[in-house]
Amino acid sequence: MKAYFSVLILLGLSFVGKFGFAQNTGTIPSAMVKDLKGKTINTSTLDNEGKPMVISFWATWCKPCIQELININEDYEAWQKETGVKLVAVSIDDARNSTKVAPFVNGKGWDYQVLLDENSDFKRAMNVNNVPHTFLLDGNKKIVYQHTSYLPGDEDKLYEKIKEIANKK
Amino acid sequence: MLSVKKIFTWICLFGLINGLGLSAWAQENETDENNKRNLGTVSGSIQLDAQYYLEDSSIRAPIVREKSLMNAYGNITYSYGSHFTAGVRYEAYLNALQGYPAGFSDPKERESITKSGIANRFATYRNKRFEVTLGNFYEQFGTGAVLRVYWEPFLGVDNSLDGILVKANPVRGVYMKGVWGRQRKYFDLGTGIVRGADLEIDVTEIFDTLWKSPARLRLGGGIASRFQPDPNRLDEFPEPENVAAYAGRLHFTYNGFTFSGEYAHKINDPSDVNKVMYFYPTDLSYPGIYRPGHAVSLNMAYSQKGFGCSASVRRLDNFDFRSDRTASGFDLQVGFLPPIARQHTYRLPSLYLYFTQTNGEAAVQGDIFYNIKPIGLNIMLNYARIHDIKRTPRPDGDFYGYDSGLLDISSDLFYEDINIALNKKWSSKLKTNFEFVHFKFKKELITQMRPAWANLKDSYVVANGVVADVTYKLGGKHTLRTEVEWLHTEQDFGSWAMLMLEYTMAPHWFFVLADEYNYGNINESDRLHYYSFNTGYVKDGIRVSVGYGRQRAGMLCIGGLCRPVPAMNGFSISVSATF
Repeated sequence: MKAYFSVLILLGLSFVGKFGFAQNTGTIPSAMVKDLKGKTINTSTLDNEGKPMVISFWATWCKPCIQELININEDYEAWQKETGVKLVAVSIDDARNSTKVAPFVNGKGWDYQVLLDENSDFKRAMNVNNVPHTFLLDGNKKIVYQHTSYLPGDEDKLYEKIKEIANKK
Repeated sequence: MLSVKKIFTWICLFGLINGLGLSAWAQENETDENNKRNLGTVSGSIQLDAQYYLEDSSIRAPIVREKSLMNAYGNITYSYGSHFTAGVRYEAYLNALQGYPAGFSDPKERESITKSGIANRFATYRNKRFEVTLGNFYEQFGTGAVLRVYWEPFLGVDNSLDGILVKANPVRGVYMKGVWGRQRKYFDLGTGIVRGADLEIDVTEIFDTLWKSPARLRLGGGIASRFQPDPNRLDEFPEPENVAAYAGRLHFTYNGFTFSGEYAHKINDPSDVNKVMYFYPTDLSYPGIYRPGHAVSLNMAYSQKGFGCSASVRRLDNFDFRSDRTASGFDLQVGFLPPIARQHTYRLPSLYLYFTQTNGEAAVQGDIFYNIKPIGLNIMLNYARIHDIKRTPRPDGDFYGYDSGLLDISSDLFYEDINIALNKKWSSKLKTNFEFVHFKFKKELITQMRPAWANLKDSYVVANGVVADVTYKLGGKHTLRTEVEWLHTEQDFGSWAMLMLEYTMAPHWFFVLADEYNYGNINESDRLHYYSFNTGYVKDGIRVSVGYGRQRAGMLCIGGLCRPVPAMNGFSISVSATF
């Protein structure tokens, strides 16, 4: 009887191992966006080689979004040195403003990877309601933190979370 | 009793089951092996906006019989691995907030219209080279002039196609799309059937492996056609049942330089929108003018670190494209033509925003972005000027309408906007943004479609404004932002002044106190204060805010589109969550 039970338990455990509830990895939803040079990129391929990644949705007409990206830009270099984090700034500007995004970004001196999500395909796939909306993904592309809106000082909390992930490894 | 036989049987069973599991696993795609261990992921979002209206006759706020109105929606998305996604959206308008498109409201009590239900549902299968969606979908061909179906809930715009979307990337650099469906119209579908296809060739990508080029070239072409029956096929005004619009485009980048252009053509499409372009008042029930339409746009931009500039020109001639020739407003639009003018975000400058005149306009816009790093000053300069096109009317009785060549531009000014923004960081505590704006435009354009034979000369509004936006960090996580705005004009509603104080405590709380004062109104009784108070709480993906006060009649704008909102006084609550 004992052996019977222990075999059953082993069996059960093996199933759990296969169809387990522990979700240690995530996938970024697939949407076709373009980079500032006009190259088509599938968002599911966004990667930072196992290091933390920030995906921030913004638009040239969104004041708090611009403020958030300006504020992060001031510390971006230091953040990258310390944690290897990468920020991907996804612009949801439609055809009205999409041609202005590159000059706008360069005019502000930002160093981020900027993507154009002209028809909000990526925004919808990520279930973003309003901009600004920022996601933090760990090395396994799992969303570990997100925040909507921007209040000055939010970037400090974001960085705390980035460091947490970077130090976990 | 445990025998060797029994143990052996159990071990075999054990091994078999695990083996089966292992083999099933091994057959699956190696790129998402971890995901296959679970049952898929669920995510979604919810948004709710409600208002409680108070009577306020001095600002001429419409009376709201329900006293409170509410809009809400919720999305649930399910994805399994990297191949399958399905989603559902529920929407409710009980009743729709003031200012929302009329189709969500019930103008006659005796008729009941659908106000809530599943507004969107889809299922998508995709792999590396191919994707198919059944149900509601959104898509854009090129700049969107020929086809753009999209969702902007805050404005009440959702012209999704309900049908089939197929996308393919058969070889490197070749992207194909095919669409077939009917458009959403509130909780129903429009009568027109829309079919379309788009092909984009990324020339650089095709040759990527042979030659690493610093230049990128993309060429594309798209076509969209709508079928709508002609109700009176035998009368004197035949209405084309199949109307197609097609466009060719190119996009070129080299180092920091970008050049792009698109030429779109639409065949004859007499409609309620272009009906007003017939030059003679008439009693005949004609469906619209029979002239074809075109939309040409060119963009150039240059940028390098610290500096950027861009210029755009666009000429439209009779290019309102919908899946129903009797539709108007935001309903059933197939093509998308955004205004070639800056999207102002400050309250007073956004009083005078331009709407694209799809029946015809010629626009030019230029921008300069400059960052002077040593002094921490960022400058943005913008100029936009839009004219009517020059039309040579055809004789009365000729419903082709008018003649107009590609370079025929009228001296009639629609809109002019000159503005400059200066953004400077003074210290770790102090940041300022100053803006100066100058507008000149024809007021009638913003409010109505005017018939071609109406004379609207000398109905210009000239306005000048200043904005001072000062952010001061009070220490710790507390910040105070002050906005002072002034807009001076002698026409329209007269001059305005605005003061706003925004106090934020990162990462959770915000408080906003504001007052807009129409001190310069010609009518003394309309020199009113529009005061308001707002507060909210934000945590991760959730945001809740409540507000009280007056809102002036004006435009609510998101990105490339605006909708008019009436004056209101009352309470509001807004909840948004992403999970």
